[in-house]
Order: sequence, then structure tokens, then C-alpha cells
Amino acid sequence: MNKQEELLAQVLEECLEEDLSFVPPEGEIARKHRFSEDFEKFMQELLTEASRRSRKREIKKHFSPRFGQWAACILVFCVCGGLFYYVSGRIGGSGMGTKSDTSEAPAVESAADETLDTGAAEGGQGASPEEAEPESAASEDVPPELNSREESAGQQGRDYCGRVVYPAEVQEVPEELENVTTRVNCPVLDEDDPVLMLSIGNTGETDISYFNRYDLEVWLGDAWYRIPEGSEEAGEWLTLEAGMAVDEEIDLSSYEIDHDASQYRLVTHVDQGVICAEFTFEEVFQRTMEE
Amino acid sequence: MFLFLALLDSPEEQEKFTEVYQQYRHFMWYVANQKLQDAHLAEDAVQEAFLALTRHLDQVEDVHSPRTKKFLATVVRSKAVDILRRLRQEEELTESLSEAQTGGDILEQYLTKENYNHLVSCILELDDSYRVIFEYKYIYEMGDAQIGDILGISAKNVNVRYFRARKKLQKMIQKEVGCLE
Repeated sequence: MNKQEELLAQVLEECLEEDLSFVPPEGEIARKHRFSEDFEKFMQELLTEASRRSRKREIKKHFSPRFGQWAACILVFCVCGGLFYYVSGRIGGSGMGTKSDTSEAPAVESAADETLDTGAAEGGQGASPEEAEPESAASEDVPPELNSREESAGQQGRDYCGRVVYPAEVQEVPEELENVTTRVNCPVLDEDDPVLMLSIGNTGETDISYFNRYDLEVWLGDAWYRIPEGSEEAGEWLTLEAGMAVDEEIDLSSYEIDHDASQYRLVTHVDQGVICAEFTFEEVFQRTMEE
Repeated sequence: MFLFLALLDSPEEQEKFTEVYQQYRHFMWYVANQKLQDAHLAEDAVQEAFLALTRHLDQVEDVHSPRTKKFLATVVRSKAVDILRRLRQEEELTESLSEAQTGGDILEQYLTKENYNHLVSCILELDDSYRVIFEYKYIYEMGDAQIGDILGISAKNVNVRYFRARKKLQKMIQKEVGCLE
């Protein structure tokens, strides 16, 4: 602005001030004039809309870059994963890795695949997801050894009855604890009637708790292996009073069982630890006796 | 109509807008009513002024400053002028810029400190439709496009009005000074 324009601005401002000097204070005008309902309604809508748009824009402003950041993170993750996969594939393929590296990796992968297959098959037999839901809810109370399928995926599996079984978490399981004993009614089981009675006895002076779900394990010459259950039912902790015993009827027909295997055991939990009861099948027993 | 609100970018601006409304709505109505002499028309002018304000809230730095009060007075007066023009069914300016500039612009010769008082009396008498153009341009230093946006006319028409306003003011000053001489 040049000098003349500045002067004109000064004059305009002075005139405006003079005009406004005659305007009464806001409160006084408010007392004399009440805005119409239409006006109030319009302005209320205007203010509400302004507020809504402003909030919307603020949310958009805050969240849009975050989506971008997330997308960038995912992209970086994918690229890194791809690179890692590519590099590890090249190392494995060019024979730079050790023998155990190259031989174990596929075994682990196949073990994981097998586990998934097993899980899927069991899921199939276990029917609908609605039925599976309480099972997963109950699994919070399941002792770790009885719920260790995922953990065993990293271990070496063995072929058993056309499926892969994995070593049991606990290999050394006693048949007697300080105040608890387990017995099967018939340690030599008939192949045609694979039902046995498991007795758990509390010989102590205080009540104990036991878990009424059992793992069936088989001895395959080098270790005990857990046999996946045909139908998984949620177990629960029950109380066994002092000096009392309980008989649990266990039907093994839902298990895939190789009757030529030398030894089996049922494993369960009591509040003092893990306990088992061993048994075998008649044919094996006779063969052993003959030998 | 609510599309205008798209320019209220942040909660701060929205808050500022609400504060301006709470503090100045009666004042703005009074200024409009002085011009229109009709309470309802004055309310219309205030509504239109607030709608225009949503697009030019950047002109309001401090809600409580005298400058803000003056700016709001100018906006609501310009809206009142628009309403009056619509009521009188006045035709929009058809005069071209060259026509507006005919006769020579010697206003600057009269813009001197010696003529200060004459200038004040002329501005006070100047028609509001011209005066608001001067105010937007010289007090608030707004461009033709911005002024046009508030008045709802093109930047070119703002320029036409501006030159008309200069011509009118020039004539008034010439007359005022001539009378005294």
C-alpha cells in the first residue's frame, strides 16, 4: 500500500469506528431483540454441522496417515519375509548348510503339516465349530501335558497306524504317587473289547483332585508316544475324598490302536502331579509269555 | 449450503466460529437492522454473514479484538446491502470496467493529510455498497477474489464496483473541496 492508500485505510477505519461507537453493548441489544425460532434453528444446524464436519475431518486427518503407516509396516514385513525365504532357500539349495540343516528342515515342516492335518481330521470328526468352542474354553483348565499337541509339533514324529504320533511331554510317569495310586482292572486287554476300568485311589488323609480326561500313550521302542484321541471331550477336575477310590470306565474304541504294540499306558493328572496306569493287549501278552 | 462449512478445518476453528457467534450475533443483527430497518431481514443478513464467515474465518485472528468486531460489521453490512439490492430488484452491474474507469482517476490527488477531514465526511456519506468494497480492500487487505466470494459476485465485478466507488468518492471530494474553495 502506498501512502495515499494508507491514508484512505486510516480514514475508513476511523469512520467505521465512529459508526460502531453508536452500537449499544451486546447485552443491551439482546434484551431488546430476541432472535426468531427459524434463525435459532438455522444457526444451531450450522453449528452442529460445522462441529460434525470438523470432527470427521479431524478423525480422517489422524487416522489416514496411520493406515498408511500400517500398510508400510506390512509391506516391509512382506519384503523382509520374502527376502529371508529367498535367502534361506538359496543357502539350503546350494548345499552351504550342514547335513542336519537340510535333513531336519523338511522333517520339521512335514511334522508341522502332519500336525495340521491331524488337527483338521480331528476337527472333522469333532464336528461343528459350535461344538469345538466349549472345548477350547475348557482347555484353559487342561493340564499342559494333556494339551500339548502344538508343542510336540517341533519334535520328531513316528509313524503309527498310518498317522504321525509325537513323543509324550513327560516320559517318566509313575503309577503311584505319595497318596495316590492307579490301577487298571485288567492289565491285559482283549482286542475285541477295548474297555478298561481305571481305578484311582486316594490313600492319603486329605482330599485330592484328579482330571477325568486321559491320554493314551504307546511305547514304540524308544519312547512313549501320545495317541491322538478320536473324539475329544472336555475334561474336568473332580474331587476324590480321603481314603476313597474311584473307577473310571474308559472306552478305547475311539482310538486307532495297533494291537501289536508292546505296551500302552493311560496318563492323567492329579493335583500332586502326573500319574499313569500301564496295560497291554492279550496277543502281545501271550507272545511275551511264550518268549 | 453446508458445503461452505468444509472450510472449518479443525476443532479450533469450529470453536472460534461458535465463539464469534455467541459473542457478536446481537451486535451483527443491530448493524444489519440499522441498514435494513427490518428485524427479520436483519436476521437474514446475519445468517448470510455467518455463512460467508465459515469461508473466511482466517480473517479472525483474535475473537475479542476490535479488528474482528469491525470485520464482522463490514461483512454484515455488505450482506444487508445485498438484501436491499435484491429487494429493490436492482440489476447487477452491467457497466464494463472501461466504462467505470472513464473520466480519469484523480482520487489519489485528493488523498492527502490536508483533506483528511473532507475524506472522513465523504466516507461517512458514501453509499455502503461502495464503502464496504473500500473496507475489504484497504482495512482487511483482501483480494478481489476473496471479496467476490463474500459478496457472491465475480472478481471482475468487484473490480468494477471498486472503480465505481473510487469515481464516486472522487466526485464527492471534488465537490466538498470545491465548495470550500
